[in-house]
Amino acid sequence: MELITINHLTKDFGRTPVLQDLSVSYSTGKVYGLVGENGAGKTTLFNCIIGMTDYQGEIRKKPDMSIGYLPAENFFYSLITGWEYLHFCIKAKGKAIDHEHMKALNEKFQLPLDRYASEYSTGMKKKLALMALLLQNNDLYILDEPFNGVDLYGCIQLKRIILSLKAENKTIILSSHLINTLQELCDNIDYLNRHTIVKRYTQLTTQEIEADILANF
Amino acid sequence: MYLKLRSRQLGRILASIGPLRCIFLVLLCATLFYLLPQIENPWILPACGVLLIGFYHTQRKDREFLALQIKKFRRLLAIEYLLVTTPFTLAGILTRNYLSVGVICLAAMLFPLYRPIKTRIPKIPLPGFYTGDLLYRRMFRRQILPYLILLFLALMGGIHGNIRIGKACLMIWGILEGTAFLELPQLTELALYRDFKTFQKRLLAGMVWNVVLTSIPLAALILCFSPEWKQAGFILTVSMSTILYLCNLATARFFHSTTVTLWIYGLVLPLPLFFFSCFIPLILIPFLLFQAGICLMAKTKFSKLWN
Repeated sequence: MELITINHLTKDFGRTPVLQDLSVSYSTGKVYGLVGENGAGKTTLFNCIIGMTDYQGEIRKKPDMSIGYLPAENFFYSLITGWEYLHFCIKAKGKAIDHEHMKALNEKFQLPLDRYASEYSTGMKKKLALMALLLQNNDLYILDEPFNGVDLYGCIQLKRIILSLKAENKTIILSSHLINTLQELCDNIDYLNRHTIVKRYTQLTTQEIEADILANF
Repeated sequence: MYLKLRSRQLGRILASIGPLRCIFLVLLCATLFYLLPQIENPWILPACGVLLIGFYHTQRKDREFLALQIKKFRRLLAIEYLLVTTPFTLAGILTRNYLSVGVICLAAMLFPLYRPIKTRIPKIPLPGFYTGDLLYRRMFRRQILPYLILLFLALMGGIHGNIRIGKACLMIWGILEGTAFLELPQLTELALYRDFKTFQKRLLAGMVWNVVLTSIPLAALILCFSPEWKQAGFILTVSMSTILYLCNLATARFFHSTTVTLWIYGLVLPLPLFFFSCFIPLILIPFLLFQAGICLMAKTKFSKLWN
């Protein structure tokens, strides 16, 4: 079932085109990877899907679908603890707070939730933001560079979490430069180049994807 | 090299704000430069200069970077501060207020030696507060000392038979509560909400709960020393005004792209409405309508977020 259908999406910042005539669709229960060079428009595409920026074209979303977005750089207000941030995120989705679930999830993330979140390291901040999204129980997860700044243990956990979300029939779109990781996790990998998605790789090895990207560069 | 870089940066900022704003800025500076020598009090000029240097020095984020890159970076900072305060020193020379020139120059030399102390606010548990409002919690942690001072003043006022002090404290607390939302938000924050209705529902629930909770001690002091219906009515009006004021700022802050415009907006529209509605309860009606308008605008502007 189609969760999101994007038709002829165009986005520019003044005279600088970022996305041009981009069409793509995302189905339920699949993991999608998004690759592209720096400044290719990956984050802009995510912002368009979420509705954080204006665009031309059409983005059709399944009604009543909840989206959880993990930005590349997470911002936390000072003087707010990890627990308080999680409480806020759960309430924001209009859901009840389940302390047991929170504690169980933190067994995996190992975060000092009693400390102020703004004092966390980059990786810890990312983990906290992801933990909040997981507690929100969204239908679609958009993860912008989720592996950046995360330690070895965190990366392994993150991979497992993505696979467990897929098993729960959730949809995940993630951007990364780690093609081997994407190849391991994703059903499809979209290559964003020259302002549009030029290719969708399915069932190709890392070497084949890399060779194709280099040939298209 | 550094000063060249800074001047180039200034040039680019001026180019980016456009010619009209540049003219406005030049006119503003010219007016200030005209007014500065007119000041008769000899202490105002150095006070302005020192405050300017102090604010600039404590707010700057490039100290560590400069310390790593340049050996004598403090000398560089001193030169920069001297250049920044040139209008003040020139005004001092024009008015023959040489004392102010000396004070400003001394501040420019000494401030680079000063390392701002990083204050660490301990984690104050706030179990009674509404859990869906982060910014109110943060504000309370920041304003706990002024809050205690206000409580003390209200108590002293009550003991000495001056109930107006308690009433003023309640209003001041309302204004301080507003500082929670005078910071630019990230748009991703809105995306965390399920829909606009949930956003507004949580906002209102949070404001009502937190405002009532923190107003109880002040209200109790007022009513304790003056148990009259008139005072109860005033407390109710101030509480309603505060809730509206906070809801307004919390919603309107998403429309602003700079902190300056947010502060100007806060000072020009919601603050006067809050202030006057505390004394004239009828003003609550236009305030409520204004808030409804802001909500409608936000709903339209961010409709794609929850589509």
